[in-house]
Amino acid sequence: MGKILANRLTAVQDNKEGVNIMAQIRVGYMDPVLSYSGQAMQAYYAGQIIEAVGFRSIGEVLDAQAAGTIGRAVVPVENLLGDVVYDSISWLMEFGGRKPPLTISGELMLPIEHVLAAKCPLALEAVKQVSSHSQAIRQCKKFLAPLAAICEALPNGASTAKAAEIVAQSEPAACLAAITSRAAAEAYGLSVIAENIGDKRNNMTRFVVLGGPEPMPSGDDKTTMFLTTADQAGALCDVLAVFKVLGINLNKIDSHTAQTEMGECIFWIDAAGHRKDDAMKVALTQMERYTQEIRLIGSYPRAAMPTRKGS
Amino acid sequence: MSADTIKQIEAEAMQAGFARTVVIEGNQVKCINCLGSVEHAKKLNLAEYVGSFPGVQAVKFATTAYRLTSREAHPEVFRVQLNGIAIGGNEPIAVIAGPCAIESADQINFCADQVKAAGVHILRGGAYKPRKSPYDFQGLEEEGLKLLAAAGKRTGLLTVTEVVSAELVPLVASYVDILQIGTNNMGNAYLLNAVGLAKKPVILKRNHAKSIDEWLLAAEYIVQTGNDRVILCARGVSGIANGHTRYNCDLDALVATKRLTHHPVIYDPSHNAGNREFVPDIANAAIAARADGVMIEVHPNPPSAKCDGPQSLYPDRFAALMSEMRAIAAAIGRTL
Repeated sequence: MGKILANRLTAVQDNKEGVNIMAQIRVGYMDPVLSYSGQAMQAYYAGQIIEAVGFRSIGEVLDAQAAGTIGRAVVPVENLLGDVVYDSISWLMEFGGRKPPLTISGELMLPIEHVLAAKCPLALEAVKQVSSHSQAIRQCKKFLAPLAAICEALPNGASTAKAAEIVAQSEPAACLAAITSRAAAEAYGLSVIAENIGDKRNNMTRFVVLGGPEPMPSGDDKTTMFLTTADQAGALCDVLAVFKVLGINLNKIDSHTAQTEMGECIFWIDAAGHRKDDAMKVALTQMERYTQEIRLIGSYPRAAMPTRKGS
Repeated sequence: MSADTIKQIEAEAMQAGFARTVVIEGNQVKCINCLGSVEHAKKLNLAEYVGSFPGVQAVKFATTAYRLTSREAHPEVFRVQLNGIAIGGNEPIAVIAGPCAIESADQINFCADQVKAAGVHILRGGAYKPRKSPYDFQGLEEEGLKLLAAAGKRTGLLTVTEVVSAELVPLVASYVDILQIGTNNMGNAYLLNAVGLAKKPVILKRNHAKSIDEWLLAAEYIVQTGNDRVILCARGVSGIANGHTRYNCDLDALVATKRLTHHPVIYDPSHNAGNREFVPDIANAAIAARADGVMIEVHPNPPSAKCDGPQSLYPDRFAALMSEMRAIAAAIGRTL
């Protein structure tokens, strides 16, 4: 396991021995705190007393959750522009829902606004190299295409905040720039040389929270599941028909290779409703006929869509 | 179970909305008690969740008001560790003996030597005496504490004395090994809280007119401060005033309480009897009823005692009683 940078946001410890009035949940996220993961963690637990624990990569966050060294893991799963966070999804396909701490208990939609930031106020044409997280680079394709600069994803899946840090430590003459969040650019004292550079203005990333007791049905929930269909004609169609007949809306359906045989695939489905809702209970029972395996990854309240400043 | 898992479960309980958690550690199991009011459905969800953690044997819901002193809070028999000895479980039965009140250096020293010779481990003696009448002897106060502490140190006996007010707790705790809450103060919540915070073992006497539940709730006041070294002491209850015994025997409470709580329960036959003629037989009955200890008043010259002379045993009778109690303890598979 990687280096844990424990960052105690708030800690209250009672002085009575043996009486713990404030034990905090340890929440793992991908470092640093200014990364989008850090921002999502802070937004999800706003106003709550937790102990934030930063890790170097998504894989390390999830492994720590599986090992039980943290109580919650906040990880990104997908982006509005179609990017799936494979580090999270491939891990969830393997371990998600296998035991309660590996079950999704909540989600969060984080608005993403990328900026291009440099050590000093460079002209766009003067930028020699742009570095960031690979997904941030993909999300700014249209902006980057006409530029002469070399675009490079950081190794080991380092975050957009790490990119800002690297630029902050670079020589101004290197003319380095980072695609990062405004918060990170400001925190590292960088000059924002172009703002809102994402291909879509209302870009957002969906994060999920693993661990914790199952949330009670709220009336507006989502249930995430992975399923493999039975090996017969129209099996997927039969599965979808169950949802249709029971009036359950699907928020997501995505196929991924099962990594067993060519052509074998696992479907990732997000359905509207809680697994304890009557319709969902019936759906899950009926689908057994058309599937080899259904693995529930969690039922949780649907996240509110972010409201954007000035929109 | 690892300390990390315990910390995690405590954190989950706090996250679910519990006000606080108290861990009671036994030899085989550790109980994490969650206190506070949380919606039932949420409690069920939490129970289901932490029930899946490695090492969790069971998640149970409390059914008694005395959450932490109940056997539900801790299924093991509990041993209260004193300096060097333990009370409860299958530990040897503890005998606590000494004068009702400390009257002089000679008196407490003589008593200490006598009870030590008889095989006692804990010396009692009152320095603050909340008597029925304000005109009766009220105790030597701090001077008495000094004499008791000196006698304890000289003989190697542990010492116990009553503390009568919250303000006096730090002073009394600085002199003796065990604090005692007297019958009249059983319901004094502030005092109970103060002795809890003193981090010393506590002997909590039952009030002569209070129920077992009220007694256990009084113990709860002490335990909820984080001090679980509480020993309960039954000592007779008010009943039919027959004029022969001082109180009615409540060995039934001893028997019942030992099943309700994991804490050790001892018996005081002296206050129950009020008459030294009756003390040995009741003491023997308490041993037979599986008391974890007995507290007996012994005075070098009972007729001259300034307090509770009629119920104090002469030292030689006490020594003989020790032999009787040893025989009864052996008969039920215990030692003294």
